[in-house]
Amino acid sequence: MEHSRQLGYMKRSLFDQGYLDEQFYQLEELQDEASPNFVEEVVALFFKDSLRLMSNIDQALEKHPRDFHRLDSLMHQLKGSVSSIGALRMKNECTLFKEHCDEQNIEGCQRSFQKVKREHAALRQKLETYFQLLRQAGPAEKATRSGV
Amino acid sequence: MALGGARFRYIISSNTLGRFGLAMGEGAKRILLVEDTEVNRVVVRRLVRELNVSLEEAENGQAAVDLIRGGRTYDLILMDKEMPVVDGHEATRQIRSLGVTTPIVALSGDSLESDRDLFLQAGADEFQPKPLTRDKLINIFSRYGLDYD
Repeated sequence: MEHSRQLGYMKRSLFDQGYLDEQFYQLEELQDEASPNFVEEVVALFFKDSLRLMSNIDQALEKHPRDFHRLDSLMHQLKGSVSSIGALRMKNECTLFKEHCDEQNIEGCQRSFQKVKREHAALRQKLETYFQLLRQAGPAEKATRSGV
Repeated sequence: MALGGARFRYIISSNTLGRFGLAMGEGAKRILLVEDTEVNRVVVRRLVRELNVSLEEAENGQAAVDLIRGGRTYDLILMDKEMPVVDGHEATRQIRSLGVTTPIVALSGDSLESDRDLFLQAGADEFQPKPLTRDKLINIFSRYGLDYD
């Protein structure tokens, strides 16, 4: 019961604080008996993939002359997978980064990217805690919209 | 597979195993998903799982063009925009230049008019913002006459 309450509270706050959006619910609705850990698996894949993309962006930011087209393209890829898991705050920071690319504003890109990385780290920590709680709650506790 | 120094990967998802003799509805429609981001491919794979379609995947536009040049045919192509090697706009142009009239639905995380226009000029039939949901996918299938159940 305590796990359920904690889970409900945690999930509510992830949405209330803007970390997640409706797309996360869409992922949960794809979870079923045949794919009981679908959401956690997709999120794990996202964090693995996003680290690679962010490393590529880091390298591209260091290159001279700056290739804003490449930076925009890399961030577009990152934003794509960010959107797929419903990571709203990250998505918003990715959008700002792309705007700075359009303006060829490297300082803006660098500032934005630091925010992207911070949001990434914060979301990772929160979701790791969330899935840990979910596992502790056991198979009876399904991650569903009604769990909010 | 290596081609001139570049590497391409074609993925045949479990939904397509029916093409090789396993259980799948007769006449299942064939969808090609052209998408470089694995997370997005995994989600679409899951979305189509209960639908009577056969899904193939290409990790970039060049891989998609190669599949089609190699004689593969599809009932629908879902084409991402930003991809390495060959992007969605160029892949769409190349596919159309081969005389292929398969419906192409362009996908992009940006809903820019310029993106939409470029894709339509390249020969895409419509433009859908990402992420795809089950409802959006079902609506797409219905629009192009794909029986999915």
